[in-house]
Amino acid sequence: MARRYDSSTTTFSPEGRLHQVEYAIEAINNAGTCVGLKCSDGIILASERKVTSKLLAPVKVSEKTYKIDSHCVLSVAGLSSDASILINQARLRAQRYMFQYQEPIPIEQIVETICNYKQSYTQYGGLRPFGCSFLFAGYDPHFGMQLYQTDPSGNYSGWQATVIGANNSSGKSFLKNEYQKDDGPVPDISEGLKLAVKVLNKTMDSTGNGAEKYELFYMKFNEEEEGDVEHHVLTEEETKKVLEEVEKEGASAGDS
Amino acid sequence: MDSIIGLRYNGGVLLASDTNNARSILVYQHDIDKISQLTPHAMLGLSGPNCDLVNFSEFVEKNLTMYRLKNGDTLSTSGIANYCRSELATALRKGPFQVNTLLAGWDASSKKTVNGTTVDPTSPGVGSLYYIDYMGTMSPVNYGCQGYCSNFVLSVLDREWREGLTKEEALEIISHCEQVLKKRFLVDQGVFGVKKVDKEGVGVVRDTNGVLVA
Repeated sequence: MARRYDSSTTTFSPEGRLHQVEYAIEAINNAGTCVGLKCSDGIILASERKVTSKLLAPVKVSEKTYKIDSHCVLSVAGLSSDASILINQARLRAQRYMFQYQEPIPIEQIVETICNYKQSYTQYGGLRPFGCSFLFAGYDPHFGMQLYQTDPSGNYSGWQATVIGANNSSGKSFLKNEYQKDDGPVPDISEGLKLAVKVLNKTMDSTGNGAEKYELFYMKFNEEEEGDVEHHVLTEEETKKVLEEVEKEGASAGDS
Repeated sequence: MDSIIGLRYNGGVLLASDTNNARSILVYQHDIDKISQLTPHAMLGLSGPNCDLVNFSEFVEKNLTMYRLKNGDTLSTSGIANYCRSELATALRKGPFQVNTLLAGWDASSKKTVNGTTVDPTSPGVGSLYYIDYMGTMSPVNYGCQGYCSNFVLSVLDREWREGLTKEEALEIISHCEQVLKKRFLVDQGVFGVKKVDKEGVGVVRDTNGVLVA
């Protein structure tokens, strides 16, 4: 019975569900994992790189983290081809706002624009919903550093720390325990990077992965200019260092 | 023949305007208000034909209200200034708004919050003043004026304005400007209305009948 309503994105099933939209959300639960963390001095986005073949040319800087504007980035879980359409829209929105008001767009406005666009694909006929979720990270003077998650239905929500993609529920429950453990302080970036790697280690299928499987990004306050942020995607060497530290901690934790 | 005068002082901005509604050789009214409130912390002084004054200020005000409802926060003063400028520049090639304006606004700080915490709530904040004309010229200024009065009062403002004026001193400068206009300008400018914008928001200092409001 439910099958009759499967093929159309815009028709409710008798149970009041939109199956295609739910399938799109489900598809992302199998995609590469992304972790987002707010830190005391910035914000972290960490994602899993799916290495499909040794022969594939490695990406130059990043394959999942995209700069939207000088104060905003996002990372992708799901179909990268669908995502690139939305990323174009987000960049366009950011620059149009800049053109009109000569100041950077508030983060929530970009998120809202993208989500409205995603929502339209769940309502108008003959179209397939976007098969991707995003983590948006950004800074604006109204609300400081912010982290948002979006999904194919067009819903979005703000978080302190969250996970999207494969095994996101186990990643989230790990974060629930480890982020601000015992009501402790919000981690700083160097602590946050280690935490993000630990989350990815939980969600990834295999253990003992090389640095090429991790894409670590942070955005932090620029010390020279107030209200300005700098972006950094960790190089392979830097990623290796973080991985080693995590490994060391894991080993010594076993001793005690 | 309109006169709009504005100047920054410590923690706010004053705008003064004449209150004549005139066209050609006829004066229709002596008590109109040419300074309109756009948001709780921004006001726009306009000179030009009355229809364009009302039309443009309401257009901007309503769009800023829509911005606030849509996004939950008002635009900064510089955002408002750039928005006004872009609207004037766009309209320029298709039946322009015939308005020259001074925009005054107040912001808590250029950076309201850092990482979710409010920055120094005791700060008097920053008042800013923008000169924007109908062709889309925009410039942030410490003092400025629009209309024929600029021929007379810019020199007064240039001599008397300094950083860190008190509100009373700023008001004194405005009355000096009025005296010069009374003495040297052929066209009687009548009574000047004065408004301020500071931490408490936009308020009337002297109403359109020239009565000081406590």
